[in-house]
Amino acid sequence: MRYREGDREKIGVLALAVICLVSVAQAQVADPTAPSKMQITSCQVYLTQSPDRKFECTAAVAEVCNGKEQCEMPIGYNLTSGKDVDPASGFLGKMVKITYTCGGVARQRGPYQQNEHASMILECSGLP
Amino acid sequence: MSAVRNALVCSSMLALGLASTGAFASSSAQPVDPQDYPKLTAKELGHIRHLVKMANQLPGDWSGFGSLLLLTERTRHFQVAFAGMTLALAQHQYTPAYRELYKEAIEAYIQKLQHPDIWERWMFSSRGGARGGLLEDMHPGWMDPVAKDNIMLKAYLLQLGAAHEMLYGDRKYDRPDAFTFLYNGYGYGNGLIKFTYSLGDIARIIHQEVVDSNYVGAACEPARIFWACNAPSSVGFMHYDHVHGTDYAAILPKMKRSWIEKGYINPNTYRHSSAIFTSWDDRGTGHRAVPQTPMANGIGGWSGMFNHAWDADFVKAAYLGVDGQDRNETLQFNLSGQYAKAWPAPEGNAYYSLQWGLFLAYAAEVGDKEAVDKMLAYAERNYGPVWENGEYYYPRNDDYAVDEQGNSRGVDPWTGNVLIPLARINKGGGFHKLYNELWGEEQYRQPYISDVDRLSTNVSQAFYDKNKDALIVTLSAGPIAARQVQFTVRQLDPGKVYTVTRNGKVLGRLDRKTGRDARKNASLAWREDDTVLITTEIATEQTFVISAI
Repeated sequence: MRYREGDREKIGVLALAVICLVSVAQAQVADPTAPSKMQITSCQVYLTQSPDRKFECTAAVAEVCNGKEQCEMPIGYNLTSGKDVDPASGFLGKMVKITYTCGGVARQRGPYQQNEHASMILECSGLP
Repeated sequence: MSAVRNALVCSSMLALGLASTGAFASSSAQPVDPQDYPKLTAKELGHIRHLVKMANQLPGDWSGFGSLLLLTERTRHFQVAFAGMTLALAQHQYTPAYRELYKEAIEAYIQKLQHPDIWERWMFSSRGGARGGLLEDMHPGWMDPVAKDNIMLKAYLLQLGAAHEMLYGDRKYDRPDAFTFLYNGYGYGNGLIKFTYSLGDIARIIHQEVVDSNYVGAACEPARIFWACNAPSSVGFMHYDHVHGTDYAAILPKMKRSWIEKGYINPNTYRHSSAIFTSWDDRGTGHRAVPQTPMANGIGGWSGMFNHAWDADFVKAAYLGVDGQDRNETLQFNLSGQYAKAWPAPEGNAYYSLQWGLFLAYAAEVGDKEAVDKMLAYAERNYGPVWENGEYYYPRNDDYAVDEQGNSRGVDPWTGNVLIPLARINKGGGFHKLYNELWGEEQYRQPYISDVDRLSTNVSQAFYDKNKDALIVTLSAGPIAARQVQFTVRQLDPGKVYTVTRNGKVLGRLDRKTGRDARKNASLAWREDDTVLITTEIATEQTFVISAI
């Protein structure tokens, strides 16, 4: 079999492309058990008696947790600019709910009481 | 001349002979009689061993704690807490110069209080419900076992943590995460969550809850305040204040005054309402008291044994009741076996076994030796005490049948594991001393012993007498036989010379400057780190006195 001039280069480039494609494909399925990274989609503090009164905290949680496989997030007044947004409602009066995705799969944690002594542990492993 | 010489020789020989018997341990050391100092008996040592063994069971191993009494929160954490305080009392009054055994066990009990098997029960209690007439249905509840109410757990975190700080000068419980409660269950809840508190957080929260209730107290279950449940935290404030310089204990007389003014305690009849219901939303309003009962019976001992520390005269008077009637009736109730018949349901039997133990512990604290002796004799006769690997305790027995002489074998673990041992060890005013004879830097710097092999050796006495500058230590054989044992003496003053006696005979002299025992006794050795290693046989009881000359 005779090769025309330039065939070797073409074959080489083709082989390289195949190798690259295979390696990319392998990378995508190489470790199906590897935990994915989280992306925070929402965080809200809301009043138990008035659920429509909500306080946005997505950015605060995203700053700590985005891109991690597991994240321990304090859920105290750090989520509401360092203050109690409704002192009269007491410990049971303010709830925190966080949603996030892991590899495209949505997860929810909370609602739990906003609490200076509590941390939610957000994870991408285990049950969604 | 020869007569004079002979007399001198004889007197010298006599002096040497006396010295060798220890009658004069040294030329200037003050005489020390070990019998003048507290000492644990064999049974008391057996109780200590049992409590230490239970403390050191692996996390989640609740062998021996199982109770017939099925309170929502169960009784394990009460056993844990009272066991820890029993060890604290023994540490303080019998072996203040031997700490490692007690310190580690108390820490283990504090750790146990953070185990999910203990604190997760709060998820039931925090929901409340229609029983009690406050709600029409169960509330969603809350997980955090410290944030609000649940004094029946957090009082003991404060009490044990503060006692540990007072005894050992160790501030480990001041860390922000000293008390950590992690919920990682799958089947319930809205995801993993962790609650962290320092001892100071817990003290502050309890104090605030008492203030917010108009000095009625911190609630046990939501909207239910028990006089008994507040006693452990009340005295816990005393230790906490001592260590931290706070004044939380100022609320104790305010609480008592509040209860009297509101009619919940009658100071003339010594009747009280053991529980006060509050509104669901506000512990300071909607108060409703349950019917009054004598403070001596029921669960009166629960508060009495601790409140004796700050209100001794009233608590002792309440124990007796008018003309001693309450004490006499309760003692008769317990010794006649009526306690075992009082509530036919099996769980009720266990409840009355608890009351039996609480009254015994109350009697011990107020120094009613007659009652204590009678009840201990009843326990010895009926409760089937066992010796097991050096431990001595009264195993659970659900047989509450009563014979014609009033004997019943029925005993629940809170009483059999803890309250009977506590009463035997407490010779009167034990908690009063624990909360009023407080330790600090002076005690932490005193000589003490360590590195004792727990299997081969019991320490029944370890006491430093600062007035005589003498350390008194008594050892006896533990459950595992050994021919010889060793222990380390720490914090002796290397600038001083000490005489060591064993069982009344001079063993040798410790002189750091010479670097060795003057008599070249192999059983005594100063070491490079300024500690002293003592080696001794242990087949029979060995009492050492280490006195500065």
